[in-house]
Amino acid sequence: MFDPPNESPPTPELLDLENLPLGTRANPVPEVMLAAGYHSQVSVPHTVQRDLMHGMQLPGWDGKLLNFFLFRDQDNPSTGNGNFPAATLRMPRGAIFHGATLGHGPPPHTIHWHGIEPTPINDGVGHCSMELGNYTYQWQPNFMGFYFYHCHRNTVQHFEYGLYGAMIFEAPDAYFASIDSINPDGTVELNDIPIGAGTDGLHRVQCNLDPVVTGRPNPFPGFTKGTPVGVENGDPHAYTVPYDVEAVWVCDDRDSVWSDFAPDPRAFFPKHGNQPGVNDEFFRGFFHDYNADYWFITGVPVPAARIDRGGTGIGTINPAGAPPAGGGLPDGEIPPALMSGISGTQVAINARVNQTILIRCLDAAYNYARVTFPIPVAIIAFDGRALGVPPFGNYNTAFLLPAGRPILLSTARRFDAITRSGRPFSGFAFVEFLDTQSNTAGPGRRLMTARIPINITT
Amino acid sequence: MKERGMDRREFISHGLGGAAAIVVGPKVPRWLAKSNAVIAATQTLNLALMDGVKEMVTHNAANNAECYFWLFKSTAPAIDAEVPGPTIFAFEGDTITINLRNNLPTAHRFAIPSMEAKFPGLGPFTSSTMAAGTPATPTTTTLRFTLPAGSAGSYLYYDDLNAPVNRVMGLHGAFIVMPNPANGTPYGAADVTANPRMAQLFADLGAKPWWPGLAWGEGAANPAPFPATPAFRQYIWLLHQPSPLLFQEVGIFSFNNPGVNYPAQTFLDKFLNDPLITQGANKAPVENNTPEYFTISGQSGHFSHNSPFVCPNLRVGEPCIIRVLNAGLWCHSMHIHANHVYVLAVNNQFSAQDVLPGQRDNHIWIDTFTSKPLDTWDWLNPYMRPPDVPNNKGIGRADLEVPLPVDPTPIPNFGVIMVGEEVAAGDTPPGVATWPPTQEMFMAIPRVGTMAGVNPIHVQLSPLCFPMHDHSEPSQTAQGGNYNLGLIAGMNFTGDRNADGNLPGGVLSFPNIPEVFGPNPNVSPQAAAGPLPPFPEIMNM
Repeated sequence: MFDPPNESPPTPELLDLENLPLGTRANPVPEVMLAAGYHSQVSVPHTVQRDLMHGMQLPGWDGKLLNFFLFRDQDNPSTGNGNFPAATLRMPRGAIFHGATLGHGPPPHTIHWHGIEPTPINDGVGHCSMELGNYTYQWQPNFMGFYFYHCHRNTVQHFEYGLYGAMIFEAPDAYFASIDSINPDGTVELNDIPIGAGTDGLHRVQCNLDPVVTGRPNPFPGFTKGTPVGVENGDPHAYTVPYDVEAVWVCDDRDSVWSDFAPDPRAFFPKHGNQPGVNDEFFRGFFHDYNADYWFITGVPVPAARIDRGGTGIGTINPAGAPPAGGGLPDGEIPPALMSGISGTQVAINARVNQTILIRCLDAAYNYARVTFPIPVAIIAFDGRALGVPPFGNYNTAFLLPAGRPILLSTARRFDAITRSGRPFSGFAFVEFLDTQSNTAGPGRRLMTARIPINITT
Repeated sequence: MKERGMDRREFISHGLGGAAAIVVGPKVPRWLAKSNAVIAATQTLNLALMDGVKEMVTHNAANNAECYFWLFKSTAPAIDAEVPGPTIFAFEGDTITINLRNNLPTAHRFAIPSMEAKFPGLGPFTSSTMAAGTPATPTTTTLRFTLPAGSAGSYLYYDDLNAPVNRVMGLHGAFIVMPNPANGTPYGAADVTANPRMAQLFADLGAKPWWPGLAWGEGAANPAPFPATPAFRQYIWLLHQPSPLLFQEVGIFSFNNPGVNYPAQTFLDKFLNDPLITQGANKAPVENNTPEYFTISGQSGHFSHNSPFVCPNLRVGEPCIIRVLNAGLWCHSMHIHANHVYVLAVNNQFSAQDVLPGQRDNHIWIDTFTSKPLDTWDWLNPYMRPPDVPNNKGIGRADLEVPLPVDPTPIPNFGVIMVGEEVAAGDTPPGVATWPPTQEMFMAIPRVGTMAGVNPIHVQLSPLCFPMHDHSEPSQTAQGGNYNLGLIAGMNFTGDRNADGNLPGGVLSFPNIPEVFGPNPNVSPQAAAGPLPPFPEIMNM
């Protein structure tokens, strides 16, 4: 894995987005974001901008400053000099994605679109193809669901230090449904359909709810079957269900010793000599020795310290609270400018009875995240693949997870869950961070518990 | 790996180690027959428990990267010493005799604990304990058992005494049982009946329109000069985390205190919790007893990723299974690129209660899965065309007659061309279609002609190379940094069986692909990935 120089090649097999055949469309999100006022410009039509890395210090819950490496979007003023996590990238399934990226700061960098499966050069893994430079990534998301993106070079440090963001693929008619007309210059005018919703004005998630509880009616209204999923699918809502409230839980941990003693992106990374493997300079590091002491849920601090370091070992997140102990999110919601235009995405859940609540959960920590819900949920997808949706889901099925029964995630694993309550409820979901260094055939010791408020009111 | 006690300490690098395998039975089955690493087919195993020092990976040859191990070595047939021990393949119903010889100064035994737990009373699958021995005066025992019906699956064999010290010191290996008779799945008849979704998945491969290509148990001939694709394609990834300081300490303690076990709790405390002592920003810390190397079948970094024995090199439409076993003390979160994979059996059960609560025969299609200490699980990798390469017909389906509009302009300077016998930088071919990605396959990164000193360092982007790695990234290091010389393998695409009739038989082979499907110590992986002339099939497209 000799470290190649940074490269800036043209995209091979580059698609002409102006001349796509009927049924295949370019990503409309940059134009929709401009029309909605979230973008100041669209640098390249139908092309998402992500550049990296931008070093920044952000506080943990107690004010301790941690070093972060961040993404930003040069077309999106809300991303400033970078966000943690990065702005969520959302787009309709089946559209052609072009992502222009520019590497800043100490190289090397790439962007890997985790769970997306394109050709190697578009997969963004350094030693398998190239390191930036700049490059326009090209792929077509062909499954609705929950993904993320991150730098895939010296990942042990770059992913830990925040070079990642969530990524969600919507129903094929999402975003297009919000476009009223296209102007001659390629800009668009919007109609009244909420951004991210389909032609019926509803936000949808992919699933097959039929077999969740055999012999009982599906409790989630609006579930639609239809032609099995394919790009040619005539029904963009086949195997989807509408949801009313969305929460995104990105579970993360940080090691402040790493942050303090490896503040440089070049720390413990080989400097290559002129004979690969012979005179490369490398001195022993500590990136194998991970001891988390700060935790976050979607960038919102978990306000507590480890028990073995004098803390309580349990903290309740407060997305709307004042930093550094709170998340500083207006109304506790993630701003639509950082959600590809979609409004209302939550971290802590505030919903009403009989609303369908969608929870997307990612373990971005280096430790396990064991999640326990206080109310029953249906697990409808893992890793961007909806359970039970034909044809590829013929071999699995969605299932009910009872209240109080934990489900274990490890790094990069994710699930989508939906739930709905006919009665008011107030309580907490628990995310337990368990050490991945374990002495038995099971999860290791619990390092921290994050409590995520769930309030369902009339 | 060199055995201890040699007159002169000398060390060798391992580009293709960890490939040794023994097949139990009268003949080597077809799915392993291509493998030069299969040493012998036998009913009797002869394993010596011994120690050795292995050279691990480092970016800098000046760095000391040695690690001391205990290991199982096959003495007859004779296989080079390696950690893990030889992979043992057997079939349901086989009766196996294992002759054991303990050269180590502490008590040891051979066990397949998960087999013991699954089939109580049908064993024993655990040998009697051998007292401390020496190379000159080894202690011995013999274990003999018959593999029960229903035992087809993936098992760890290891020394379970003084747990987990003896296992983690290197006394472990993979024990693979195949069904008898064959049924097109990796599992026994009762499991096939009891798990209809699993059975349906194997029945659909190569038979349903969304899985074009071969069934798992199906091989096929290929156009010359490429060898036939074997049936029952399978790979083994055995995960481990060596700690050089601690393993050395255990070795010294044991030789200084014959018959006395190194305290297991002390071992655990040091391995898992030895404090990190920093010495300033961007400065090397004090070396401690936590593991510094993270291996797949004894290899790491490019040695595991570029080994055709570890990393599958297959065409689209050639599904394989990958058996992942964790002999260590860390959890790994195994993420594979290019294809989502189906989780089959976990710990030889079809229900994994912590990650899939309340579920059975529910084969989730994932890109990342959890490997806890002592876990064993099997993936079905469908080897479908990477589904997010732009297409306009449908995932896994044949393309429309009119492809998506690719810019035809050749890409200058990044192309790989032949000038006489030499590879040179030039234009790529014109863009034609998004698949196969011909322009990309004839690109080199960095460009041809890029040198590091006297060494050319360009790599042509064919075969199509994708990684598999632990996403709990501290394991992606060696010696505390050194990304990415850690726990990594991958999957490469060497062609496409469903090439829409462009070629005889519809079988496409990409440039530079290895000429073997499995291990072949006579073929250097570096040579296989190097600048060989393009094959005429792709040039004529």
